[in-house]
Amino acid sequence: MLPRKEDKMNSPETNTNPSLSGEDRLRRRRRRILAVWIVTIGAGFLGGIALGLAAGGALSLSPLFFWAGLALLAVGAVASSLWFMRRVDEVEVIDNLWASFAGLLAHMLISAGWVAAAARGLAPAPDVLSVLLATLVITVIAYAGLKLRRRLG
Amino acid sequence: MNNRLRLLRAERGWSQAELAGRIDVSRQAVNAIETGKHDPSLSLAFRIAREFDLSIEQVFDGGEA
Repeated sequence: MLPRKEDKMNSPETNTNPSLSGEDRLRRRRRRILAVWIVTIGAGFLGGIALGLAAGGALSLSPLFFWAGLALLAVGAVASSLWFMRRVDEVEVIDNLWASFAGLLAHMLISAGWVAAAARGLAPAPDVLSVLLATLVITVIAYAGLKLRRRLG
Repeated sequence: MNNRLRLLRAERGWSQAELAGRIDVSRQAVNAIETGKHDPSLSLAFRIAREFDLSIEQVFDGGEA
């Protein structure tokens, strides 16, 4: 029998209380993941609003503060993504990676296709925000599809 | 990969949620492993086997589902 506590095989998310039943531990886990979701999405939402205000000129910032804020947003996005990925299980990580891959592929195809179409006069000039929105929508649809597939078994 | 997870869980009277809480994964992850839609990492396979007091080979046989 392998040792339970001393081994190094546990993944980073393993931090459970053995005195609780499995179902209680699962409830705690769900609350923990929900908190991670809320913090990550909340931080992204606030960052997006700040960026939108700065881009629209409503928030007057010196160039130094603008670049510093942008750098902070980038570091926050990377840190919160890593924080999230290290706290969910491997199935959730795989679903996130597939959805991200679908989003990246969509982003490249839409961008390249739109630029090529615009160069031939078949479409208006590419709009960055529209491409970003389409990328986000496709990523969310891919993620929801994966989750639905898992739920339907 | 074939596994005896559903059978072992039923023998102990555990729901998927109970096993999920014990090995610190989501219920969907347990379902995905039971139905052969996800092959667990070595680390998770060890955790599952330990929870049943069995070796990995007694839970997973390495064949295609």
